[in-house]
Amino acid sequence: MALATLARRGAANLLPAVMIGLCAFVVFGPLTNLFLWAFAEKWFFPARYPTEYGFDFWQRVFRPRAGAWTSLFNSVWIALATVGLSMALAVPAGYALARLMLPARAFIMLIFLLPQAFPSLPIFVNIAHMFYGLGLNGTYTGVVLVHSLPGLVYAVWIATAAFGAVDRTMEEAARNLGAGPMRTFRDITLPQAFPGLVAASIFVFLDSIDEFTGTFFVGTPDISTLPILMFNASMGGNYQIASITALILLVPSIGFMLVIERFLKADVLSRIGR
Amino acid sequence: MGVEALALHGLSIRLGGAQILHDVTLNVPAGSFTCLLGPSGCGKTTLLRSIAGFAPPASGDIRLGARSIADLPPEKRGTAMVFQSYALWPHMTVAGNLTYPLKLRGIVRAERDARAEALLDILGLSGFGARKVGSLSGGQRQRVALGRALIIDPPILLLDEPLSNLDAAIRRNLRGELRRLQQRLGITTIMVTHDQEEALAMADTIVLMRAGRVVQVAAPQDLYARPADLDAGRFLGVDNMLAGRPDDPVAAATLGFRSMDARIHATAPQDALVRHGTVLDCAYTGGGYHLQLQSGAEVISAVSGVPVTPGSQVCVAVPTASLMAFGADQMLLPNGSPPIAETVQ
Repeated sequence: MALATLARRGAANLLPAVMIGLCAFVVFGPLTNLFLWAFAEKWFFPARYPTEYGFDFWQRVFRPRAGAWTSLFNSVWIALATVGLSMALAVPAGYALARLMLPARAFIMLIFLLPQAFPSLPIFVNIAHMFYGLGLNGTYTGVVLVHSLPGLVYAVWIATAAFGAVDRTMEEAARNLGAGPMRTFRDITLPQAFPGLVAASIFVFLDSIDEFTGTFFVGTPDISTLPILMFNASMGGNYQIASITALILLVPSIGFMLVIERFLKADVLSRIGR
Repeated sequence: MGVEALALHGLSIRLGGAQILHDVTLNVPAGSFTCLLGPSGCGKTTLLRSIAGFAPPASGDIRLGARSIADLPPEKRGTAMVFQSYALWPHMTVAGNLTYPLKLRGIVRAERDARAEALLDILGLSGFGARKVGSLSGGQRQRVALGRALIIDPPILLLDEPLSNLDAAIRRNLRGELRRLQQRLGITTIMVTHDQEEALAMADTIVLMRAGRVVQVAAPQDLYARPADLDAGRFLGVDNMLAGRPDDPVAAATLGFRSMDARIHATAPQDALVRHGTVLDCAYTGGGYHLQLQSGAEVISAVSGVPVTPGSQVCVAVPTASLMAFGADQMLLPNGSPPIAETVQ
């Protein structure tokens, strides 16, 4: 009797354990592989694991003329500029969408999603074509604009949710006690929407750091970012350099997870898309 | 800024195509405590918000003292409002909330802090200045919200159901506290409430509202004894509305009275409204018994000091002084209408 209960309990515990194990494998398997490649000096076909480890390729990646530093700075500057541009548009847009009873609010929100709804390749090919005409191809401006296209989706949707989560009577209380509209926005609305806006900025930043297709069509060969560098390395069969680049790309992602846990309140997340 | 009177002239408000307020005219004397009383959806909160500047009037005027404030933005009106949700700013401390209005007025930090300190003393919240708003209880938040409104020394104080989010016991305490504070400061105060008991206990004048209109403006005692019409009576706890009969002591289409004025008698007394009926139900209410009687087609609520067996025949009487006489148009009949019983006999 007791044994049967134990067995049943064991079986009940086993299933979740197996599921968690599978998920972990799917998530961490490729990461482990990446990690191994990043530190593999020699790893040829029949060997299951690298035959030699070392930092030789790290030195090669960070050699002054290898382009990794340039790509890294490019990536970061472009991402920061994209955040700046997206948020500059998303803060007023998000406030308007959350506060003012715009007639076609749902429709406007949907329009912001449209670039994500279509396959990105044809969109970027067309943008590249347009940018050729405008002389924006191969310029930082062009790349920042292309990165802002998906960036704005995150920025506007999350900013709208963040402003929507601010209790309107708190703004009214400030107005009532003598604050003008701009002062109210600065002192009351903005500080309360701030965690959501930080989250939006982080999303935009990460999306930009990670962006490949748009940069490939609009930026290359004049502008190289880390994903472009990684792509070139993988295409050249240089898995070590590709893996090291990928690991560098992981740094902002991990930073993001730490920050988002601190800043993003559940009530902001729950309002996204409302 | 000093205490000022408030006057509304023909104020109408539309929101999204619906007419919320119809031609409201009201005079609130300086230093008085006025309650806007009415069921939910009667427009009392909208009226308060229009005084604060959050509901633009379609027509009419709002005057504070000698100046018209109807066209001013909220921040220029100088009204101080306490919101139902208190609307304290959670990213500021208690002291931060209290001093923000002073900061807006360019008062230096040392004086801001001193005034916040003094106000916290008055509110019984000494030492709470550095606390986060989120760590306060409901009653404490209410006091901070009140303090934040009073710190600017406003000409008029607007209270939107300030006590409705509190426990019954705290509410009763704060009622008296709020009233005493108002009397001490002598500040013109308008409070919105749906709780008639609260309005009766606190107000100098009660403005009874219904469906966007002012039904009656009266002192609490007058409003309680002489509601303007049948609906006003029902809202004020007049739970019996009987069709008048020729032999009643007061001539009226409808006679209203509260069940606590209707008592069971062995013999019909003089100078009273008398009905006979069958006891449907007898419930103990602590101090006595509450009865439901079937009298013809009508059901009467009455009280009794002793239990009465359901099914028994009783005589219920209401003193003439406790009766409210309503005409066929549902309006309260003027005082002193001759009792029909005397003229007929």
